[in-house]
Amino acid sequence: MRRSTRPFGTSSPGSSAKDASVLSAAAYAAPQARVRARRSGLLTDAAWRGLLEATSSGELATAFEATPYASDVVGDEVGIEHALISRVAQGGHALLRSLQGRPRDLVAWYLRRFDLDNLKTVLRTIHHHQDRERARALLLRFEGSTLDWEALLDAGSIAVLIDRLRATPYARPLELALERYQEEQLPFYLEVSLDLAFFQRLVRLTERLGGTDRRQTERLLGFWIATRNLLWAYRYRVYARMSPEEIVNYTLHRAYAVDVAAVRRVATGAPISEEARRVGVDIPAELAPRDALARFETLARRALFARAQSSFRGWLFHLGAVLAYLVLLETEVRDLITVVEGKAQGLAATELASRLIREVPGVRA
Amino acid sequence: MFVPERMQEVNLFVLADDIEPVTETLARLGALHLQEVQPEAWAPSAEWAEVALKGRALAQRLERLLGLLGLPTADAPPAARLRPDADVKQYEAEVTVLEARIADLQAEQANNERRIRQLEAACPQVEALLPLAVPVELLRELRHMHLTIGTVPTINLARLGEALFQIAYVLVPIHTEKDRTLLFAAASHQDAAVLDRALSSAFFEPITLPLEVAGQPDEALQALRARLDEARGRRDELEEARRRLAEELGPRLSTLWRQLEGDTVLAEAMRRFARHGRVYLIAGWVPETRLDEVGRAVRAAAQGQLVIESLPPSLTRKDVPTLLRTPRWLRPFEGLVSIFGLPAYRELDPTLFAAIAFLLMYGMMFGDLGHGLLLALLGLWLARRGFGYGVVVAAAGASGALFGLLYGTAFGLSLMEPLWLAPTHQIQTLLLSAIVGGVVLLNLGFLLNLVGTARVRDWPRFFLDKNGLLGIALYWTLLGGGLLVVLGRLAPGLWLALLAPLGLALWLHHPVRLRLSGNRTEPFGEALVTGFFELFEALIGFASNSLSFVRLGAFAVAHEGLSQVVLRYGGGSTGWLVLLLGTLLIVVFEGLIVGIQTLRLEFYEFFGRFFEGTGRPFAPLSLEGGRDETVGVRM
Repeated sequence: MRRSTRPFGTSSPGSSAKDASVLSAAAYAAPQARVRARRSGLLTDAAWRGLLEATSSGELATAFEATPYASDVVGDEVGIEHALISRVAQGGHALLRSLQGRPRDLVAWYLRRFDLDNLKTVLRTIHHHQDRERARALLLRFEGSTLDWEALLDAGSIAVLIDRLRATPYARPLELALERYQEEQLPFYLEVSLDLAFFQRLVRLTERLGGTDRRQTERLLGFWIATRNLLWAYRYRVYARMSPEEIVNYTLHRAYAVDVAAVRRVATGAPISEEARRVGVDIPAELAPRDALARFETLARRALFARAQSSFRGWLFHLGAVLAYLVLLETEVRDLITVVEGKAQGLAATELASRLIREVPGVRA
Repeated sequence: MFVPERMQEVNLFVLADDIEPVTETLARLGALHLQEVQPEAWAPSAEWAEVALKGRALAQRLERLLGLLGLPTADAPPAARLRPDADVKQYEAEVTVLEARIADLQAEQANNERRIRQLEAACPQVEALLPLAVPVELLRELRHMHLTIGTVPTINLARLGEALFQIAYVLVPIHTEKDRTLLFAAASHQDAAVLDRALSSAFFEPITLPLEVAGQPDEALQALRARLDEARGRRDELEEARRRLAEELGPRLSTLWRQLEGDTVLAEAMRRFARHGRVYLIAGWVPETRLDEVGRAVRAAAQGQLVIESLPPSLTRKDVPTLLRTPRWLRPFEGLVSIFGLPAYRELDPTLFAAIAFLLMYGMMFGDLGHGLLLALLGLWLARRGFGYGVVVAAAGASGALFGLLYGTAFGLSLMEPLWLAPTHQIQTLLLSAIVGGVVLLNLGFLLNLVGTARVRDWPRFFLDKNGLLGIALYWTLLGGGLLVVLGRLAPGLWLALLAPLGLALWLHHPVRLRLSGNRTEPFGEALVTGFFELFEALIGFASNSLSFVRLGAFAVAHEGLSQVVLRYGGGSTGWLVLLLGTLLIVVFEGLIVGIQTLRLEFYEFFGRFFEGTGRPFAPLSLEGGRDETVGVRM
């Protein structure tokens, strides 16, 4: 078989038509229909312009009224962010029912990152002895979760929390880091152990897919995992000033374009522009590390967004469409959060537009 | 048997003075599935949250004490009256006293166990040093090397090696136990900090070689082993002391634990009740058959000072819990259904149909008198050993034996005249029969869907769903009409003309109803596109679901073929071994595969027509294990 000479994850979505079959069409008919229909419900450029150009809270509220998110943008900024991100969790869960087999396993696990976010909230609440009511309000609404959040919030200590998670895949990673956490009293160790276990399993589930499903998943999730890994490595180096050996231990070793060799290069001082270029993201070499990191994060999100948009070209019936829709939805929600925060700070429409992941043409200042 | 137990929604308005006895009465009855409600102007009963937390903490402390004394926690509900608020305050001091009595023994046991672990961990370390023949104390003063010993999560071992890419190092895994590996790690002194950081970030837990270990490794090892024997001897003495203490304190600890567990269950429940001034609202679901019993008991507990409201759930309620009424003889098959899901309250319970279909399909695929009887015996043996599905396996084996009579085969031999047909000689008849059987089962699924939707008066689904009347009409026009076209008894044009309006109706009914109703929750365009693909899926599904049943016949043929192969190679001096292993392979392996295929047909082809299995189990407030969340809970 001839091997592709394209760089990582850049195969065009239409190139997989050879794998297309009536079977995949039958398997993905319903999810594809749902995805296409839901995608048509994402905000239009006009709706985005309306939001960006609103000059008062009243105008912003009116602009939101014309979107499906009107009921989410009430209350304080934290509440709004929480409600909007919960939309992604619910959207993903709604699509899950139409999937079967390994693709379903993968998407179900991918959605468990909302469980992970909630678990981190619980960990921090217990560690800092924070108010449970406040934590309860911060938990994302995720119907796919099978955890008893009330019982977890009531755990009182991390050891009891782990005990209550015994029958779940989260207990073991937490247990591995428990002693280190108890010694240093830093929830970071618990969180990093959870993250590593989550992403390692996500990679394994991706590898269990075959054909177009696998290629499309690698193209989207593989890119996302790789850029996350790169971001972790740089954050550990730039913000936490960790040693190379710690950076290598706290990152993924098999994350597609960002493997252990890449992590080592980052750990030993490789500039971010160089590593970013390897995953297909160009940032100027002259930027200071912290600025470069922020720039990379934004550009990586934009690159993922572009990949997701292009997934809707060519052969339709594969898992990529489902994942791409989830990326688009999450991008939309993240951009909406940026709009809400930016408006609160009084940013001008053009300034705000430049901070979004998506492009909004024709925005007036 | 065909529908879950009927439920009544119950609201109890109870005065604050009576809330504890009423809740206790409900918990002892185990007949109320609680639901959280918060009417306007009512507040949550936060005052019980603290009691619940304290009660849970005390119960956990007692559980720990029971564990330390090697005593089990009893399942029986508490005998004495429960008063969560007063009990928690009253027993706290007593628990502390009991803890103090056990603490000394516990501390000594823990120290001794730590020492045993330390010595046990030190032995292989010193053993590994035997070839060196250098005094152990010198290793602590290594001038050019930093050596550390400990355990690391086995999954992190490879990561650790990668993390040490900047230095020269040695990692020697000694042995792995559970999921941790005992590891020797060494590097030069100048790289010690790097090694320690890498180990620490790989969640390494160091073990320190006791200072008392000294001398040549062989002498040190001998001394270590002597100390280990001594520590193990002490363990026996401490164990005897623990046994005596357990005899003395066990009964009281058990009583207290049961009491506080019960108190905690009540407090946990009460904190979820809504409260308005001095009145609590307890809301939940009670099986209709136990409504009077619950009413009498709570009235007695509150001395008549409470208000009880009960009403049947409306047809649209989705949160009503499910309590199945499966007869005892059918219960083994309930497990087959619960693999798929628990019936929702308004759904039909398909256990009886599932059992009959399972046995018929299994028997048809595994038809052989000898193999069937062997499988039945295996099932009975499993059932006697407490394996939940043993009875199902035995029944499946019996069905296989029955079909063996119909096929005239035993252990692959044609020993008798088939009562119906011989699979390998009448393949076409067998395959056609399989499809006909499948069509019958699919139509039973359609029929059950009609009954289920009629029960909840969901007329759009009854008439217009792909599994409703419209779907049935389309199915029969597609398959029946298709057959007539093939046989030349129907003109293809007429067939298509019949199919077209049905297909259009199935595609367009949902978007059109959406538009007419003015419902804007789902965009018209979305419904139109989704509807088209669902029609496409339904058409493919009708054909593929029906043809899917061909496997019933194909497996029957394969079974006989496999048996023939075993018989063919069963001659000669080692023939008995081939026969034995072959038969074992057929009964266990093929039996399992046929089981999986049967479940697949049942779940996807049959259940898919009418059953969603989205029910919530009826989990009553109970003092026996708290709120039981297991499927199929029964009173």
